[in-house]
Amino acid sequence: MWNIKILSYVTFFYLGCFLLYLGILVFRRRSLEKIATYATMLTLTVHTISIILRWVESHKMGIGHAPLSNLYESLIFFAWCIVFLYLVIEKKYKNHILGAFVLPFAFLTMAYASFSPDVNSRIEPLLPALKSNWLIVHVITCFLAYGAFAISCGLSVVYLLRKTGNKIWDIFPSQKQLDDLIYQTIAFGFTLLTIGIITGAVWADKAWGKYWSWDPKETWSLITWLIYATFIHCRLVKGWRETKMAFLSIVGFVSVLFTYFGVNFLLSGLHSYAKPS
Amino acid sequence: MRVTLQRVLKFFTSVRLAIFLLLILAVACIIGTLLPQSQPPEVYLKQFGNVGSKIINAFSLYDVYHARWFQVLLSLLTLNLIACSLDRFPKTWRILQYNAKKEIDEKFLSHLSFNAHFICKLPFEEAKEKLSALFKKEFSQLEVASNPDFVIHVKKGSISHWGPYIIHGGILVILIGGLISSIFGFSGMMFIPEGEVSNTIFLEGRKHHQVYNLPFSLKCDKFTVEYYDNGMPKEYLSHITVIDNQKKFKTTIKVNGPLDYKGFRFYQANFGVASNPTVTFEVTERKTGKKFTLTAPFNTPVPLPDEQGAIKVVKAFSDLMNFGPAFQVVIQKPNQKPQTSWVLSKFPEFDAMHRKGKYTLVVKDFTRFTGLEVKKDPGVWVVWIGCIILVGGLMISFFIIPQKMWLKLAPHKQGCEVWLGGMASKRRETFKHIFQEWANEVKEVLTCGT
Ligand code: HEM
Repeated sequence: MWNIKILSYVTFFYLGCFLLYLGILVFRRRSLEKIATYATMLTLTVHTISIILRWVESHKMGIGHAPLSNLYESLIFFAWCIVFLYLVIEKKYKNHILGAFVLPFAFLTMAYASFSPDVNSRIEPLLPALKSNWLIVHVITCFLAYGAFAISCGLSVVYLLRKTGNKIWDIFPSQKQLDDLIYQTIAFGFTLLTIGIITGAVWADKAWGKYWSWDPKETWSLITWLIYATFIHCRLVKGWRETKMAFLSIVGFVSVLFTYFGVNFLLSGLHSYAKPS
Repeated sequence: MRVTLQRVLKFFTSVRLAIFLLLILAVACIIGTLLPQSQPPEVYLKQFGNVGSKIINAFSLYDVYHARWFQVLLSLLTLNLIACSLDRFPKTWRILQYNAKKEIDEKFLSHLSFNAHFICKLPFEEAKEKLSALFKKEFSQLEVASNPDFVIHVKKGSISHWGPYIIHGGILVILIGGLISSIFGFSGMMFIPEGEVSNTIFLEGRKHHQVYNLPFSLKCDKFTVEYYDNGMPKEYLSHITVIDNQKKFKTTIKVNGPLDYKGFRFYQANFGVASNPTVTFEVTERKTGKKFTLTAPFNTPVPLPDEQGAIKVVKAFSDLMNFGPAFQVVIQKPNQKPQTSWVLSKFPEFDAMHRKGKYTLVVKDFTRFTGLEVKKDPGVWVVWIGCIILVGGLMISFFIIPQKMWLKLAPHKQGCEVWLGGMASKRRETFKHIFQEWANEVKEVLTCGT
């Protein structure tokens, strides 16, 4: 199980990348920028390779399936989405400072996946209900959405810091730019979450015969969706851009986290996922 | 009277109402996931006491998603969506019409929210050609006027303004589909033992205790389970023959692979031991280890291999106290009291360990039934169409940025003079970025650094 070992190293690489970004922030060394970016790119490449390796390994075991089937695999992919989207944004906006607020999400996710005893990292065969291409699309779109929401949450924290007016935060993009960036990432996340909920419904319709059954996981993704829809509309009401928006985007991300973890651990096992037919 | 009517209209067209409704719906959903749903009243009484369970009853919190007030919220949202779209329509229309301005002068351009002005060394005629080529490549909607000066007006992505209407329309279609599903759809279960034919559906939900007879029948030829090497189930398969008057055809139904026929969908949902199963045993003689196969139809004595007595299956359970499929057999020998015992299919050693006798029994096979969930849902296609519209609308709204730009070129004693102006009716910050890039590109084409 090479992939698991490599992925646990990747966790520490992300910690290193985070420290590099933090270094930019603390020491104001522009020279660190390139190093931080390249280090992150390299780590993402290794991360990608180990996901592919895991896929290949599952095929070698004769139970081949995309590595998106259990909590471990989804966490690994979640972290991948965060870093990937972050690098896209960094390239587009040429600002290297935001990394310090985004990479911790990736590092913590990877650490949780790799080192928590609750997370089972073995490759296991798929239950019949999980054998569906719709499910793969569902998982990929949902996690890209979650990644985008994680980034918008990090940016919202930056926004609130920027708003304090303290000179330290002047190296960040302006409030206007941040606001726009938050909106862009949420727009992206919202679209993908919509597709994710829909493909999930198509899958549920195929597997259980109900496209919507108010199962807690489903319902919480709807709650998340409603919160972000509120966010999108708040901009239309005069004077609601600023702090309210940043606040809503953080609340939205808390809801994402609850959809992802809380439902599994706090609401009793109603998720139809594991229900044998 | 008019005033109140206007107030009511204004109330329904406001985005504030939309925000309020979205948040209240979110809160309702949260309650629905935190409070156990559809439990008998005693459970609530025990958990939440007298007052708590009264509140729960008063607001139908035991079934939030089907409560009257939840439906009222959804209806309000629908009204809000319709009213708001109608209200905004004229404004959007005006924005889209706003390009009629033909006289483009410096004053107009410098009053636009985004503008740039520069002077380049390139001769007028040459600059004209280069600019035409540049804009033609990128913009489909292009108007050129060269009298008296050279003016280009370009725009792109106006469709983005229709995005919200498409999104909200999609949501309406989904809500309508959901309504059709809940009024005209039904679901139920069908149980067919292997080898038998059935057309009876036991309805679920609001219509439970009722049966529905299909206009055609299904025969279950065989039900099989496939396993992975580690013992986890891999596939549940029903081999079915559909019998519709003279027409007959074979098909399989598996998890994630439902059967669609005449507007009905059949899902693999369940399986178990048929109520009157025929059981096949592997019978081993204890002393010699000789093995025989014995097939016993339900409740029918079948002679043992030595002809000294008979065995009869008298009870069958799909799951006996979590031990899985279990069969009660009675072994009758001449001049002896009948011996009654359980044989468990998941635990092959059980019989040998717990029963004395000449032979030991192991279950090899038995008749199963397949449980199919049957659905008729005329709304589902409406929902999917709504979803496609919704996603399309989101893409158009978010990823197409409307761009409107004007460029004026005039001869100048150093070469030529350029004014560039742009207008954003949406996403100003992003448009600013785009406009900047256009300004840079124009400068680059005309080779006139900053
Ligand atoms: C589940 C419900 C809803 C969802 C998911 C939703 C989603 C959206 C989205 C994604 C946009 C696009 C914003 C943009 O283009 O930048 C939008 C715009 C808008 N929505 Fe909604 N919406 C919902 C309900 C409503 C309701 C009930 C109203 C009624 C007042 C409403 C009023 C508007 C308005 C006025 C706009 C702005 C249009 C513009 O930019 O010109 N929405 N909505």
